[in-house]
Amino acid sequence: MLNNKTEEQIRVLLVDDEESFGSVLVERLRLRGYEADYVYSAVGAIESVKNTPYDVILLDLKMPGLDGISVFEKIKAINPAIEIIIISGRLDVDNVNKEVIDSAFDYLVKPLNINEVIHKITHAYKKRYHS
Amino acid sequence: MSLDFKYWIKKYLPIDSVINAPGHYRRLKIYINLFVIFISVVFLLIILFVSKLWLMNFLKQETDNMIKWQMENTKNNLEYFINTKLSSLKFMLSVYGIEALKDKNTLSKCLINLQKEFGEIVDIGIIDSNGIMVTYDGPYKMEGNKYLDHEWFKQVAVQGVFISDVFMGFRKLPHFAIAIKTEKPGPKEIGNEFLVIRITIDASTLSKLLKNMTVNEGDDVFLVNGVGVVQTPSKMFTGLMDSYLSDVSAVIDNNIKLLSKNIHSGKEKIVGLLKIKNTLWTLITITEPKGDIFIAKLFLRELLAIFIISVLIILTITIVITQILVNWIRIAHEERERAMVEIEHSSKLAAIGKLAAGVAHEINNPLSIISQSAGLITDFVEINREVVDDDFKPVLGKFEQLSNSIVNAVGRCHTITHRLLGFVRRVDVKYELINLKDAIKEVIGFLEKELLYKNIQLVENYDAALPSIVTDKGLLQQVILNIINNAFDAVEKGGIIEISVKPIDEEKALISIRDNGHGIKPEQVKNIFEPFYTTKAKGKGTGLGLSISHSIVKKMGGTITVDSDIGRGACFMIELPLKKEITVNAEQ
Repeated sequence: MLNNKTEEQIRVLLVDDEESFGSVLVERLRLRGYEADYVYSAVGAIESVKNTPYDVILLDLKMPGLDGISVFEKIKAINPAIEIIIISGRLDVDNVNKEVIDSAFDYLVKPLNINEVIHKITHAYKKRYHS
Repeated sequence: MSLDFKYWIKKYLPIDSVINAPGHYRRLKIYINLFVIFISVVFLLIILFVSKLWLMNFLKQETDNMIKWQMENTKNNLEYFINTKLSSLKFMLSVYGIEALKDKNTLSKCLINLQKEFGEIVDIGIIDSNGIMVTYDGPYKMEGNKYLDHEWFKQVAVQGVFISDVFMGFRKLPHFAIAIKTEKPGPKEIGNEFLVIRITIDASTLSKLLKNMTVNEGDDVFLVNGVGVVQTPSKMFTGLMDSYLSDVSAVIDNNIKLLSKNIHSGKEKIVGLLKIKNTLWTLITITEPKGDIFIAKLFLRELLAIFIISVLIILTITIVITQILVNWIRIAHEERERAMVEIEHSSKLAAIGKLAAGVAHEINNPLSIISQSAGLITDFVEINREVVDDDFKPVLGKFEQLSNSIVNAVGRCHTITHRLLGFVRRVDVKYELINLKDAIKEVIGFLEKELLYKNIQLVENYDAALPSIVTDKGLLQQVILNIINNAFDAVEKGGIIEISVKPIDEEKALISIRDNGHGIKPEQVKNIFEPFYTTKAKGKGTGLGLSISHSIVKKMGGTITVDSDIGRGACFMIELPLKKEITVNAEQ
């Protein structure tokens, strides 16, 4: 096994418009014992958040349809307790809305390192339930 | 028609077209010089001409006045001379009476008295109304001579007074006669109604009177009679002055007439004409105009000297001012050109930077897919390692190895895109606190492959005491990259490049980049930071790298210098302030 499955099942939602990226990453997360779902649209993301109490959301800010920032705000409106980690293809994350960055748990820059992703998710989960 | 100055200036002082042509500044200088000098000389010539005109006019007035005054004097003398003779004759008549004068002895007495008074009297005679000389005293035998048909006798009979022309007469000597008529008192007898008393005067006395006036060598003064026959000796004329007859007859009493004439087709002279009262004579003077005289020549020579001096002064000032002016224009023009090139260059760099940034951002997405897919393969390998057959294990190992190299390659791509973005050029200087060593290391990281390929040894010396520095990281890296790139071109394969960074004092740090390449000639060192100056082969260098580096370092408050000679390699030294006041940014 890739690592010990956590005792508690961490529910993760990956939101990214790049399907070949999202489907692979979500499978890797599942292999590591996470209850991970993947949606590729803003509408899908909002529906999923309404239906399932996710712990952590990995959110790509650059998406067709609704822009990432609106999705971010909507998710926070539905469930303020959810920790959001922003993932971005852009390196100049500093240029993104500063408030969004501040209210997000953290951000990751593509291409992602799986260990780093796990590390951030774990911390976000811990922050949600143990702080 | 409107005066379009701009059009004329453009046409005759073509500054615009000159500036854009090769060798233009020299030509511009020549144009401006010629223009200013031409205008100045034209005005000076006008002044010179007007002055000369004024002077000539003044001198002509002066000459005319002088001639008039002298003619007036001479005329007065002549008239006085005539009048005294007439008065004496009248006095004689009143003292002796007409009958007594018919007596030869009395007449002789009178002649002696007259000759005592006026030496020039030659003879005296009494003529009756029949025109017969009744009594005569003098050196000739004239008694009994008949004058009835003579013109002078007719005139004296009518007018009472007559002064004759100069004539030879019976005596074959130039002389002239003065005659007055006197009515006899008492009853008139035929042929005895009146008497005429006549004296003859030596004509040389007239010449003597006129001689007082002659002033200069070329001048002439003489008398002519009513029909233009010369009466007294003249330097220029004898006999009849036909060509002046109309002028002579046009003269009115008491009015001096001045004419400009070419005498005998020679130089122009002033001819003065004045009538003598009671006579048919006209006084004629011929005078050289004073324009040719010494004083006029002297004045004109001085004027010419002033003209030449003025032209020389204008020439000098114009040349000096034009030199300065054209230099200003050249400097301004070159600076503008340089600024334009810099702007063009930086906008080109900015565009390239933006493009690079866009590419870098876009490439990250596919890189993510590659990276995650390879990662998933690794995951599968990991999961299935325990369960596969032993035969299949080496294949699994190969899978793992391959997917790992994919992940590594993606990692390298990531580094490259990251660096690319770091080099995106910013137009403004953006200060931040940076570590010099890290910044330089980043640049070197960029060049590692090239170093390896060219087999160049890079020596790095970082002073341990080096503090952090406030500067623009991107721009500084651009400068260092540029200098190291130049060093690459300068050294052969196997060359050495040495980078040293150390603090100079508490305020400055020194970055020196030394190579052991072919070096730079002293005359090239002088121009090396000039834009477009390149020693590289055509098409290899733009000649902008070091010029931009120089302006960047200057903008950051530092200096960049070079120490080099042929065969000795080159050492570029960048001095940077450690603490830059960040006030500019704070204001923004």
